[in-house]
Amino acid sequence: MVRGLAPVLLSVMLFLQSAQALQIGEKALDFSAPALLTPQPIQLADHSGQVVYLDFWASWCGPCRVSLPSLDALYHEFKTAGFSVLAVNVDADIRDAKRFLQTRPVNYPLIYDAEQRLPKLYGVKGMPTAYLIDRRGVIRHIHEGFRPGDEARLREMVRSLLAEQIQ
Amino acid sequence: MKSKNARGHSAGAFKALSAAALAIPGIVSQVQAAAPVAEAELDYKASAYREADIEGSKLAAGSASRYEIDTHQLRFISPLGRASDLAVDLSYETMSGASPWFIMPGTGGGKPVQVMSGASIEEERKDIQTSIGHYFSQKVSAKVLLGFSTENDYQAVNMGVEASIEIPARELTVTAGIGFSDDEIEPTDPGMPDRIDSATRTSTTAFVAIAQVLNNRTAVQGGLTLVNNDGYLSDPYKKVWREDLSNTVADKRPNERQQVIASARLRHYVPSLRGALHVDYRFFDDDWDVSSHTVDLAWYQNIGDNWQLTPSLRYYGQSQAYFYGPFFYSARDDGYASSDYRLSPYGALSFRLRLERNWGEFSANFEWESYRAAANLAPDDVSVENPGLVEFDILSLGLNFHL
Amino acid sequence: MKLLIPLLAVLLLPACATAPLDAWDRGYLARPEMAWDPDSLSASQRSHVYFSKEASSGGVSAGGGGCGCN
Repeated sequence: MVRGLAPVLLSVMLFLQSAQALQIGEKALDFSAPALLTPQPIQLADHSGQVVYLDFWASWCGPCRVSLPSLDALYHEFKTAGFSVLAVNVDADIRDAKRFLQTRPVNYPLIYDAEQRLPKLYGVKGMPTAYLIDRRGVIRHIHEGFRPGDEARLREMVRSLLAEQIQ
Repeated sequence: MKSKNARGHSAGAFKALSAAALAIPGIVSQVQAAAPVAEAELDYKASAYREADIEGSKLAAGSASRYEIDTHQLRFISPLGRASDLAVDLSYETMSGASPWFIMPGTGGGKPVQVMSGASIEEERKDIQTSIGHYFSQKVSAKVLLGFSTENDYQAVNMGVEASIEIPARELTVTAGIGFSDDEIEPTDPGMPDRIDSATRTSTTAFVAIAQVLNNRTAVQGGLTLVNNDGYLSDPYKKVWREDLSNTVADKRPNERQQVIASARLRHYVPSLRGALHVDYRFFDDDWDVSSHTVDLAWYQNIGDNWQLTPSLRYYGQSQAYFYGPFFYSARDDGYASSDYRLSPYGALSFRLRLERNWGEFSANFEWESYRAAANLAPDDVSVENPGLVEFDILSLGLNFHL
Repeated sequence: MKLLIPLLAVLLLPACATAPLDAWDRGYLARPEMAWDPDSLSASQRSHVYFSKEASSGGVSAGGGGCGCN
């Protein structure tokens, strides 16, 4: 009964949330969405207990040419310590995303959101926008754009979030 | 003798630096105003400009082979710290050939004929333009421009500032700027009768432009530019035929020229065709009575994953300057006179074709342009066509590297 | 200069309200071929050539100097 209500609740929540951008200190909203390169869907809850960098990107976004390789480096550095990057691609045409990834391949999980449900859910304002989520599932930092030097700043944030204990 | 015609009445010669200035609002990408470029890029372009020989029936004396210019351009853009970026444009040109000198009345009621200068030795022109952009926030940015160009008889120093403000709620970007150019002319062969030793001119430009996103595939931009030119605006290498003297006198133009330019541009993407339409219109009006319309249409067609083919068509039509004439029977009351084909009434059609191949981090393009000017393309009826009107082709090869 | 007022009106025409686009809906507008000048070297070279062959010049830019052009 409770399980059956969940999709209804989720859609109501989606509707309510669509107008409102998520803020720092709020719980990250769970979702399940198709992966970009593999058939299995990816769910945020599968990464609970981890520090997650939830990144929204597009092949046409200039700073994303810099951010994807930087995030891949962070992912390699911290994945064994409990850090993951989940990257949601919002391209209208999946072929554009795949072409982009041929020249800039990454190893972290990639999501393709054809209906662009997730950027609406999170209230994304620009490309790229990312949500740094702590081990308890709380949004601790919202990262808009990507500039030179951001990789070093993120490394410090990820390091300190990884050091926090789940109460 | 040298075959150069000094000009330089406007700060519009090099638009490269503003290529990304009037960006579409709110886009976080390389075309966005409110974010510095994300990564360094290097562009190179080599161009061969060839003017067609003047027809035998239009030539009275001098060399029939007109101008040839070979150009090498290099452009480097790079992020500079967290909130700034840099652009440097270098250009090196070598020029040679003959150009129109003066026009004589046709004999026996025939059409007027052109006297050309002798073919020049090879000359060169070097130009450097730099700009630094700073992004104060996601909505406000400013740019400082500085440039210098040198030829053996011409030096120009220019500077400018531009500022951009985005209004995301209305999908608007407003950009305004002012520019200043200080030029010095030192004609070769100053010993020739009535040729000046040296002269200066300045040009001040102010513009405002508004870019508006209409929907997810259409953007438009409107612009208004005012230019004030001051100083020696005549052409030290050109002469005018006077029937009453049976001789030539120097080209003489007013020492001031004020210009108004209104422009409108449209960009529209058609997803089903994977192509983009460009429509550019410009209206120009000045106090020399020159007024012109320019329409430029281009279609960018993506083919497969890596190719792009772009045909374009440009029309240009102008009215004449009030002191222009192919030749003069007597002196004008105001003393001004010019037979420069560029101040004559005419129109021009130009066709361009561009092919680009992309290899991810590297791309190459090939471009061809064919340009033809004629009096019968002018917006108004023209009774006497200037025999010096130009016809040329440009072939170029461009390379782009993401560093 | 009496032209200025109608010109300004044309300039301000596009300033009528448009609903903001979603951040993820800018893919078409961000395509390189949708830039005002997709190939800036080509644009600068062409405007230099037209500048030296035609009586008109100028646009929405504060850059560039004159030349003793052929």
